[in-house]
Amino acid sequence: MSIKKIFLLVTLVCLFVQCDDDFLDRSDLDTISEPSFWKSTNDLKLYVNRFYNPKGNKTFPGWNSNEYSGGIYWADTGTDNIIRPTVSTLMAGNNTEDTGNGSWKFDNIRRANYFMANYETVEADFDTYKHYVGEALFFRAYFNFTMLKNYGEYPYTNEVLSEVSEELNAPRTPRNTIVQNIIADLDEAIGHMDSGRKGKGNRLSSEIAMLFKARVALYEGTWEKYHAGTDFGVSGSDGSSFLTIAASAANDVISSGIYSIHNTGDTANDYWNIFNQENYAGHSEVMFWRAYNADLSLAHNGQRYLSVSGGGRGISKGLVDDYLCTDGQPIATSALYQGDADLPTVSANRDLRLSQTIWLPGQAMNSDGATVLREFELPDLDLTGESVCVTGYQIRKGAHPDKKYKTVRSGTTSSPIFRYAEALLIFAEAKAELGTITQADVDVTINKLRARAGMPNLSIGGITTDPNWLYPSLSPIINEIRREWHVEFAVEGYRMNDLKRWAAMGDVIVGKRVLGAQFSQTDFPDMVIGQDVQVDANGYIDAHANEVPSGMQFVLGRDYLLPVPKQELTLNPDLTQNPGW
Amino acid sequence: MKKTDQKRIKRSHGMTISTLTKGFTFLIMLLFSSSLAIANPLQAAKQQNTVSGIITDKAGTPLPGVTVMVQGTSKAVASDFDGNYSISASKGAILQFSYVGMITKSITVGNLNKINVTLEEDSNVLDEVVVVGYGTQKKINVTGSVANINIAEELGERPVANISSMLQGVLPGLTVTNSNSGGEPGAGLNINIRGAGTLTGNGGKPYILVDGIPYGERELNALNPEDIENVTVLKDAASAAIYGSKGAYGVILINTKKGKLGTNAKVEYSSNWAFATPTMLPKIADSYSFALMVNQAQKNSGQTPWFTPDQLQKITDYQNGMIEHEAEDANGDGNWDAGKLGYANNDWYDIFFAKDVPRVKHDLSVRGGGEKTSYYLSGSFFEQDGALKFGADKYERFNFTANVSTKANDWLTLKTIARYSKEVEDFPSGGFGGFTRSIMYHQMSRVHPTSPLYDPEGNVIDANALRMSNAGREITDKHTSFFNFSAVLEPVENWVTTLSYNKNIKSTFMDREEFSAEFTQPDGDVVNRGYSPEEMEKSGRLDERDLFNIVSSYKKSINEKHNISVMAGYEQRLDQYKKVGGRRKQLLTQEVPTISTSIGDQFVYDAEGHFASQGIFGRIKYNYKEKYLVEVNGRYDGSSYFSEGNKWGFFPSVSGSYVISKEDFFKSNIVNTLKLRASWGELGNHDAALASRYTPLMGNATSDWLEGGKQLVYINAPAIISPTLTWETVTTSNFGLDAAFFNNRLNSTADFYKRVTSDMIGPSSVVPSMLGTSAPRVNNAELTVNGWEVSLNWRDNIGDDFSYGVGFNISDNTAKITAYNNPDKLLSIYDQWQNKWVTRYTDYKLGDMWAYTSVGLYQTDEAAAAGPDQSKFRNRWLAGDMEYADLNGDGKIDNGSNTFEDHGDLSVVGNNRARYNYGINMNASYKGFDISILFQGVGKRDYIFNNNTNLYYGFRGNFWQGSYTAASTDYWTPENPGAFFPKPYNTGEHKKNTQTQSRFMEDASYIRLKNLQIGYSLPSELLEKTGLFSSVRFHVSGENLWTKTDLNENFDPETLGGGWGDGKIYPPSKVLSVGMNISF
Repeated sequence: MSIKKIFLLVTLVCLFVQCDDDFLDRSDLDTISEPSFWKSTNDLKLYVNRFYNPKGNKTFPGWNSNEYSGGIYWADTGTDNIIRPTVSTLMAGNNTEDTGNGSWKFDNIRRANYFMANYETVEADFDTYKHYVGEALFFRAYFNFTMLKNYGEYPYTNEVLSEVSEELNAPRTPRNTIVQNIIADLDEAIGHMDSGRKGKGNRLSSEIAMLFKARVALYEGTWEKYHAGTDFGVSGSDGSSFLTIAASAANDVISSGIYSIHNTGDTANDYWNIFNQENYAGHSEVMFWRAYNADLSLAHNGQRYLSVSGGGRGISKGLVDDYLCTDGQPIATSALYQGDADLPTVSANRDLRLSQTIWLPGQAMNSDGATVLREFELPDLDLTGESVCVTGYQIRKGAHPDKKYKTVRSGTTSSPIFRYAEALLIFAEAKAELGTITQADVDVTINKLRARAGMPNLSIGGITTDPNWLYPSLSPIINEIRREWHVEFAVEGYRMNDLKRWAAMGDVIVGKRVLGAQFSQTDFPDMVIGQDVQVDANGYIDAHANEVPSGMQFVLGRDYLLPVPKQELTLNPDLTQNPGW
Repeated sequence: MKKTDQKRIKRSHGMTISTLTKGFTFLIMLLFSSSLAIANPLQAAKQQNTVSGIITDKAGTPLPGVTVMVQGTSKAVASDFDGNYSISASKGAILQFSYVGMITKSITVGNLNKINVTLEEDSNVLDEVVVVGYGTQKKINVTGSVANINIAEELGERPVANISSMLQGVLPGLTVTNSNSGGEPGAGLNINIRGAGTLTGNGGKPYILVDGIPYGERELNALNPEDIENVTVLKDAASAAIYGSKGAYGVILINTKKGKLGTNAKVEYSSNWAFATPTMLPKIADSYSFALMVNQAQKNSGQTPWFTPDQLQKITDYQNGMIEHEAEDANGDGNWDAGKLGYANNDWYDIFFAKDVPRVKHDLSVRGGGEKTSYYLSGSFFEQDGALKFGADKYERFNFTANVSTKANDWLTLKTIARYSKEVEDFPSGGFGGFTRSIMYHQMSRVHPTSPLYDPEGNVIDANALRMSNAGREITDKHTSFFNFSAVLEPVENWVTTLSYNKNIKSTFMDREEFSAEFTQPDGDVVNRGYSPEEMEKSGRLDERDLFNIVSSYKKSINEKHNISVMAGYEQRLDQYKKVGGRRKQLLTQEVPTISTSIGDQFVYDAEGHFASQGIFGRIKYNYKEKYLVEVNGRYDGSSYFSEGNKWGFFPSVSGSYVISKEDFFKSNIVNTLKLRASWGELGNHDAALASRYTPLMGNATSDWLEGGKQLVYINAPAIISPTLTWETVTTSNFGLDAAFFNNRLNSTADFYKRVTSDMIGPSSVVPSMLGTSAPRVNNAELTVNGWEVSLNWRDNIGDDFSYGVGFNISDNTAKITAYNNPDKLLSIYDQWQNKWVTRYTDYKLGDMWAYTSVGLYQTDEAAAAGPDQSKFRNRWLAGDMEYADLNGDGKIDNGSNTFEDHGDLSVVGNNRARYNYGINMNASYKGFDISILFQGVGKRDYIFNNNTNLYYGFRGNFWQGSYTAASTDYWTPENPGAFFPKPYNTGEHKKNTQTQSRFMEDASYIRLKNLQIGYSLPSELLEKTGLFSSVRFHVSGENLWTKTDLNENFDPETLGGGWGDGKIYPPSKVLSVGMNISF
């Protein structure tokens, strides 16, 4: 009996136990793996797509989805262009050895290197996918340039490193070598990429790569020139080789003939309208831009600041003072200048880009189609927090008055990333720095920008000496080109890089006060001077009077570059620290 | 076995199933042949008499199923339904009467043929039978470290939602803590055995089995606590080794109630009504103190005051009842928008959380058995309201269980268990901007006291209240089914083979609404505080788990001296899940919130995964007269988590014990039992977090970038992976002592252990950031835990009516990293897998906090100027700022190179792990009354809140992110020089004073009255008169009734965490309940 039962038992066991040799082989079911990738042109496109703002991250400036900020129009915050109620850490000289630790990042560089190490396995004709190779090279250059701006020098690599790679202990690569590598990548990218308005201007093209190359070369060229002889400079170099590259790359963009300055003849609005549109597909000037869509939850809150309140910021008197009068003369010499008593006087007879950059009384701030619901009257000097306009000059650039953008997360005005005007100014500046600029060069660059705002032409021979030039030791033409950068690219996030590459912090920042408008007690009868508002001896608002009584304190021998994280110095003994840290 | 040998075996190539089958068949044959050899019964052919009688308990109730055995023979019978037995035995033979839970009685057969026996209940817990891996065992014979508890008997009626809550504080070495969901209705708890197990993945979770089938920690919520009979915790490697690569951090065996053969049907009904109130809520400053505090911080930061004298006046007036409404259209621009326009005096925690929210539970069960079939059937309903006042949250659970077992014939028993539960979790969806509900607790922490809840017309205008009540719900339905079918075969006496097939099916359906939540401004503008655009999301997930095992065991006793048992088994498991979901924007109407009635862009997603394991295992036990015991376990286990060649491993263990009290020389009236135990074993830890990580995976995602109006899709770069990644090896040595004293009235157990997690997964090395990704994970680190556990239990009665008991258990352990590839010994390294900074280096004791030492607050600007250079944090140092101690005397406060060798002015100031976890229980009964009390606590814990913790520091460097609590009003001003908190700043400057430092180290130890219950059972005489009920008990019970801690008043010591930072979490509850149990 027992025997039968045992036989039954053994049979049952054999029936139950799975006879499947692969039972333990369980590969991932819902994720693509490396062996199944790098096969098609589309794989390459899918991979480079990551570099365009991946979820929750920013590659290019502009609003993140749902972001609460003024976007690029706040990007000059913490320079002499825009201030907040409290002084920026950098401008107060308060950076510490831990500042910017999170910026010492190589993940995107690795991602680009990984592309370059793998793309050749694609089984397709090179011509079908070379554009994406170009994009990957562009991004590698772009990410390296970010590191260069932050740290000057760092160990450069174009290899996919492993955790045991020797390169992890490499010393820092000289900055001019890094820039040469960046430019080499961009040259190759320009050769591979498609020309024109790729992806309706939402995708990179060879002209964008040219413009970026010009930007990098100008940055390095002027950096080497103006930091020469300091710890930040490159010994034996005056930057002229990079300036030459900058001029030629900018000229390539200009001579491509694809783009032109947006000028419809509406001098009071053309400039402003570059910054508050939803759609730039086919736009003559905006070469590359970021689009938003509220239905996809990809919208921003930018108009809830820019066209509602002061946003906790304010434009400085220094920036406003740099706008010429309509006669082409600086305020110090022009008979048309009316003084600074209030916003209408400040803006009277001035370069029309001023009234398109700061809010003036009577401008529509809230509208429902053609119906104006609210006009700007006074700056929000008497509000607090994220609503105050701390200087009395309230940011208008980028604003769109339409009511529909003011609901939470419904801002869908797009954010320009590269615009053609930059190529013109790079060309002019590089030529001027090389000493080869001609009136013809000025006419095809600066004068195009001035004409759009209804301003008279700049004539190299007829520059009026401005006693308030920010860079008195430099030539009149350099001063005027820098004025043009200041005015044309005001509050678009260029100022910090410009001051750094020009080594201009000593001239413009250190010991200086960032003032605002003249305080008007009649406009703000409830505000008590000394308590609710601080003003200087001339009656100009001095928001940081208590916080930095002796002016801004950028540390010249230190703050042009960020400190290398101490951790990294410990891990790689061959790594050296930046000057002053 | 030497370590190198084991490694060689483990790394060898995977075993195929056919080899497995062969091996298994061989084992069966081995058992079979050995059983044939011993199966001949030893017959004693003397004069045989038939002895019969009736077996009853002390109360005279007949006991069916009592084993009656003639000692020294294999002859045995069981008593029948009425307690009658009949067995042939010769005069002088010894009859042994044994029954689970009763003291075994031996009676020598004399001249009488009728022997009636009364068995007494066994009060000696050491004679209990406990469930162990794949079997049961008398507790006295257990050689490993095992703790168990009978739920109904020892914990009584507690108004808690799940079994996890009931286990807190009752078993030494088992810690149960709140998860990041805090006290949310339906929240799961974290369960841990013996402290930190590993530094990766799940951190070392125990393996949980309910009636033999694996359950996840959170899935325990689906169980009805009333269905649970007992819980056993296997703590050391020897007792858990039979589970191979899954039991490394202990095993929790939960056994549900079953019927007994030959018992009358017993119907039990219980119900419980409870009311819950948050244990504690942060205490917010009043509006005026808040306004002054903010203005002071503005002033300290060199900014203009936030509140003007006019506004301050209004705040005071409102407090004094001189203004009726909380807000006005101050600017006259038709706008309520800015919070600062209000002058309310709101205690937001009081506004958002309700008191005395109800919970109801009903349970009905029946159990019993006939001659062949026994059964347990139950049904239950539990409903728990949440404490949110706006958008009330809720948890519901329905349970049905059927456990049936039937003896088909004398060698085959079939059993089946079917269990189903439905849970419904209903919460506000979170309110805005793609966030889920965890953000609500962050939002609550930072609403200003002056912010208005209502407009003058009485409409709610507060953003958080609007979102919670109107911005939609997230409702999750979980259906959990569990089926077991098993056959127990006993073809030859004492050779028992169980084939068991288990299936667990869980389906989860999530229904998520993201609605707008609107209010109207005075100018008629409608403002949406909720989601925009509106969106619906629905997803369904199906989890299936198949577990098959066959376990065969044989036991044999030779001459009452040599007791041998062997067991062998095979198990295979397959887990699979599939998920599909979709989202669509732009609802047509909130009335019909579906994807079908939405018209915007739609998005569909899915997910799928699987996991398989296989193993063969065996156990040999031997004891000599239950005095010297030894046990050997082994399991050869394979897992699909690892790559070919790394899948299989062998996990052995050995344990032994010596029951000194059974020695003849050991005669003591005081010590009744004394037993020494020792064990050693190895287990593997394979963690779901590592699944398939040997293939470089390239995930895909949808970009925020639009190209031509369409969102880009992209593929990610893979991480660097190590092809040789395999499990972590966990070796535990355990030494234990069990003793009983004073007629078994005092029972004690002590365990000491060392657990080493070697081959622990760590980064291959800490590398410069230049790598651009994380270094691959390899098996290169080691963690060593040393710990101990003690429990003492006293039980006695005074007279017949009064009995009482006191129990105490305590455990502690310390964990140290004994190998970690951080050669520079950096004090903080970035863990890319957990996305946070951690401290890990060789010889680091887990929980040690490196911090600055605080000297105190500077009282004058001059003193600040004369202090050490603190420019690492900020350039400006004034009166009211913090002075840090210059420990290394270099005149400069910094962290040196932030390494162990060069740590500047940092030092280890404390340890934040919860030490000395203890529980104290007391119970007493007198006649019909009973009372029981359970305290639970942590003996030592240091805690420093991260300087982003707004509920602690008040300010955190960003005005809108502050929490202006009553405690944070104790800040420095020249008038309050003795303040606890430094001078506040409304900017990032605040953080210079709140560096991690000794001044802010809190004592987070606590003792809490977890449960108090008082019951009254109606006297049986009364019940007999009714002729209906066999017992009726009424009880009142309370949870978390009292707490003692020195921690900052805004935090519950058990609920420090929170997804958005410490204290920003759903509070746990204090619960009061009344209930009754009826059985008939």
